[in-house]
Amino acid sequence: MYTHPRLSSTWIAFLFVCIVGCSPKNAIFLDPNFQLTNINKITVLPVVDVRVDTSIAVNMEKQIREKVMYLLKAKGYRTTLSDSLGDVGLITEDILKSSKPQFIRRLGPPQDRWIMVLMLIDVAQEIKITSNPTGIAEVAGFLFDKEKGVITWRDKGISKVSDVVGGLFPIAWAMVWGMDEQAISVAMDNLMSSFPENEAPDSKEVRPRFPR
Amino acid sequence: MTKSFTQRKALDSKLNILVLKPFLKFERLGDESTLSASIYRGDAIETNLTIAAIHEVELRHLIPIDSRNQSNNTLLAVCNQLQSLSPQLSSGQISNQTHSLLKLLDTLIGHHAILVQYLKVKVGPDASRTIYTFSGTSSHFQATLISCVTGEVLWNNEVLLRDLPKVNNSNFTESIKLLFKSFPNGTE
Repeated sequence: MYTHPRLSSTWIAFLFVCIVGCSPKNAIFLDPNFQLTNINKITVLPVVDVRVDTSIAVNMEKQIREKVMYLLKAKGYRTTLSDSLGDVGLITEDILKSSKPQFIRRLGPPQDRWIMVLMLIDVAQEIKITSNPTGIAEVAGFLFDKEKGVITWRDKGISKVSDVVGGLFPIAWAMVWGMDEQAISVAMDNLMSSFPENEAPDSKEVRPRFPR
Repeated sequence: MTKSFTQRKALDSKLNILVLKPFLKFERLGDESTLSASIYRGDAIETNLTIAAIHEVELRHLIPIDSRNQSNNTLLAVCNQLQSLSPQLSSGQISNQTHSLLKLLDTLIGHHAILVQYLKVKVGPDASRTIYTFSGTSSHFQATLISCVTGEVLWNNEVLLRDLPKVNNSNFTESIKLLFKSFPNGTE
């Protein structure tokens, strides 16, 4: 069967993005007792934007929070949203990485135990007539156990999405729609691929019936 | 290349500015594994950043002091401790430990402020090995001026360069210029 070379390269690129974005990986940090812990509900706090380059407008709610809520449900976790980061002041990646129990206990609503903080570290795109449109993104995620005052899971998600076909149509498409949304979406998949599945018996009730 | 957050105040021209050795961190994009600075000519970058900072301070009619040239062992030890705290200082985190170090510095040398520089480099996949031009590599330059007397952040700025910091590259020089563009002048 004849396959147009450009068509096949598109599929290769698509598969590459899927493999890189979705295949499980090891988290930067994961509590060895994570699987033994019964996480009844995860509270997802507002996304922290720590970008230096803020030239791209990002809908944090839709592109990051909604996505992580879906991914957590797909892994069998109950989730809830919070509109407040808590009484913590400035939050940076370095502050969260080295956070002390007193700091962790002030994150999010006082009554909630399992707190997830997501960070958008970088998103950029390069759309030139001379090269293929490319988008990159970097996100970070933290799961805190407020009762113990510790980090339970921490990881980063990165992505690079590119149209390898080339030509004017993909460039025009990228100029109108951008490559940033795809880049963030793939980075979120990459981030959450290291988050363990909930193996509790009642977790099946939470999982969406029709995966997207 | 992008310039971001800036805070600007006029400074007392009698204020001496102790320029600390820059803190360099090279890590792999995505997994945070540390990479050796020597692979990327870390020493040359460090020297360039220090010289550039001293030059920029002089241009503002302020008095720079190079922490590398100090002979007092206590002073050197304090400088080294503060330099190791550069990542925290650059994000405005002044802990009790930092406060006591700044107080000690104030008693040792008097009317001073410290200039902290922190360069965090995230190295992405080698762009030359792929068909893409955008590798995700970035150099995040941060500079912070802190009063030794009050522990207050007098000025800070940051610049993102989407490339490796290459000493002889015009983008590197331009990034440093951008970083110090808003550095306050000394007033009479």
